[in-house]
Amino acid sequence: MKVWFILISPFLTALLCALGRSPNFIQRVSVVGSWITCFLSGFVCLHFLTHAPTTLKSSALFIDAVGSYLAMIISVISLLVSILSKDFMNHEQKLENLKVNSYRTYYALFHVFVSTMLLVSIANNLGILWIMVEATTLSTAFLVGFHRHRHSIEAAWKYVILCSIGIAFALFGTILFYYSAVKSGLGYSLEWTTFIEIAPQLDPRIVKLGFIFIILGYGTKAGLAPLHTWLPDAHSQAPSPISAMLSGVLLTSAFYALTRFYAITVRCVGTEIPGTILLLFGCASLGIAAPFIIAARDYKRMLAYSSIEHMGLLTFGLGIGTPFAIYGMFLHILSHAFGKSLAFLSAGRILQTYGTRKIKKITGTITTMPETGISFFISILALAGLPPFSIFTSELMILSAGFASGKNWFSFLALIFLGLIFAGLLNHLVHISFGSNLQPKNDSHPLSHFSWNACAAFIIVILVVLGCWMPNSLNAWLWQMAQIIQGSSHV
Amino acid sequence: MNTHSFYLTQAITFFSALSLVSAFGMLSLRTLRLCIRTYAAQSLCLGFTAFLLGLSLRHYHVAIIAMVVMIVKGLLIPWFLDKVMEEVRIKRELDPFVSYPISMFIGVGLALVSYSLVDRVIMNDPFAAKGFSLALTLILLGLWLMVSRKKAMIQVLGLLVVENGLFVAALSTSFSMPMIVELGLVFDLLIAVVIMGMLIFRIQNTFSSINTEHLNRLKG
Repeated sequence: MKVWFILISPFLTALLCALGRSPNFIQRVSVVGSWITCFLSGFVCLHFLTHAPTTLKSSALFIDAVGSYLAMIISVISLLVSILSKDFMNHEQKLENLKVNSYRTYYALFHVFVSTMLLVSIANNLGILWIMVEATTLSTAFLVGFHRHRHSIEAAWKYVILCSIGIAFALFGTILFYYSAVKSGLGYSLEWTTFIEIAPQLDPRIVKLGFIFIILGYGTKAGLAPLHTWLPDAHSQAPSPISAMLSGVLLTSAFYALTRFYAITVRCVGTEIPGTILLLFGCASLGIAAPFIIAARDYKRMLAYSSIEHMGLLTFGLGIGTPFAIYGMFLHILSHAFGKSLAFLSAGRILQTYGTRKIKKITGTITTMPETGISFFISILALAGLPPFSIFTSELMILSAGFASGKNWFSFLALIFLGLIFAGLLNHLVHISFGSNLQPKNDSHPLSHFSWNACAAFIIVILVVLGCWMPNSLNAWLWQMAQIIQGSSHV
Repeated sequence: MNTHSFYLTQAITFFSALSLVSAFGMLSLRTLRLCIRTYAAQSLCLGFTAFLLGLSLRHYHVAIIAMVVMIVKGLLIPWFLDKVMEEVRIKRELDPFVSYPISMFIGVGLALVSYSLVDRVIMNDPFAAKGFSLALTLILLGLWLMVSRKKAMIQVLGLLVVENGLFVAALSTSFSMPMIVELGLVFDLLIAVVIMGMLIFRIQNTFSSINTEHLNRLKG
């Protein structure tokens, strides 16, 4: 059993999709491939989690509790999105008369995207980690610009340029980390496992400077304010299934890279300085998201700003830095990934039915299209942080850890912003969901029922169950991750 | 230090200075063609510096990376960008956001900032200090190039200058990172440039211009 087995399936699927002759064939291959990817990564992760100690050899690829957590989120969400992409493609087919080439591009790039993200989750070499995060940008550039009209080209251009330039800072940070390792005389290695061991001997000044560049770099990709400017454009202009992927898992992958560096930094300079920087970025993201969500006119942009909010919360949790906060942060990663994907997927169905992104023009989705309307309703409630959904639990954990560790001002500020965002989201949600029935404008391709209901129900069940009850194995898993990142074992 | 290594040090200093000059050149040149040529010259200078370093210190993997860099960044990427320019047929870049003298002035300021910043962080290691200062200068100048001009092509060139700065930074950490990583970086850059070139085509086809001013519809 090797770690890279995880990559075989998405890679082969991408290849088959690129070579496929007919749209039907490509779609089937994509769904089957995603199922296999899902099972294979589940299998690999389970294998390495149960045989943990033997695998921590020094090598370019490795998997630990954190990596496997990310890999599982990526593969499950990519499966759901791959199944539900069919609706989107059928609709586009009807609207723009797509050629088979568009199918090839869409599905092949989708699976390349999945494999780059899986490589992010199993990279041990920090250079390879960087290369793969950059590769996620490159593989999604044409997915963001899939509609060839003005707005999506603009979004794609901003996305590629801003993310590439942002991520360049992360490379500079990585080089500084490498330099500090070389200078301490502890070896010419870029491996994370080595860094963790030698972290206390590194030069703290260089590590601090490097960490600032890392935050700027991976923070741009994760959409932290004020580096978020590409995010609302890309997320609102991309096809909705791709928005779900971008928001649910791509941002998470970039954030994952940040947590890896955080783990090295706290072992070298303590939690104080990196923590404060992260708290500032977290609060700034919450603060930027709040007014834009309240004043939102376009519901996909509203969801994009909500992603900035949640990324801000994750950063906030990481900045607090106690094991309990990091536990909450990892739970939040999972719940946000599922909640936001469902929200974007439902938004995509609403967009297909009504043909408009304006919040003002849409009312009564719950009565006109109950399947989509209800899941949109539930997912936004979950994202706003209402119980009994698990986002409520994780937000509660992060904030209470903030107050418990004496970061009262920051936590209070975050609480106010969360309140504002809650009000804003609910205000728009009520407008979209209730009110007079509105007949769909264009006669769109009929949407799928069974697969949509199954996927939506699956996500909702996860959100509700984790909100009410924590399985023992997941609990142990989350503690293990908190320990890997934070360094101290919990009591 | 014998004469042989003395000349080598001189050569290395000379070529790295040349790369700095070329970055300033890109700030002041008015045609995109010339900017692309200057970028090629810069990459060749840096690649050659790395090659000399690798040979003189017997780090042969550095020499190999340097050759790959010279081929990809010095020849392949400029050639591709030239092709893109031919297709979109835009020769002159007349309208920067900031006038050329002021742009140069700010560039000098950025160089001073990065030299003084690096001096404070990296001590007791003159080689790395010099390298990181040059790297940070190139990165900042590249960023400045990106924000001060309008044409989409210039933004790509700015990104490439930033990437050159990163190459210098990697070189200063006692002779570059592991080979697989360096090669991965070059490959990534190549794909990025190809994708950006294709996007420039699309921008040209949709807006009939590659001024990024047109890309301002998405707000809120």
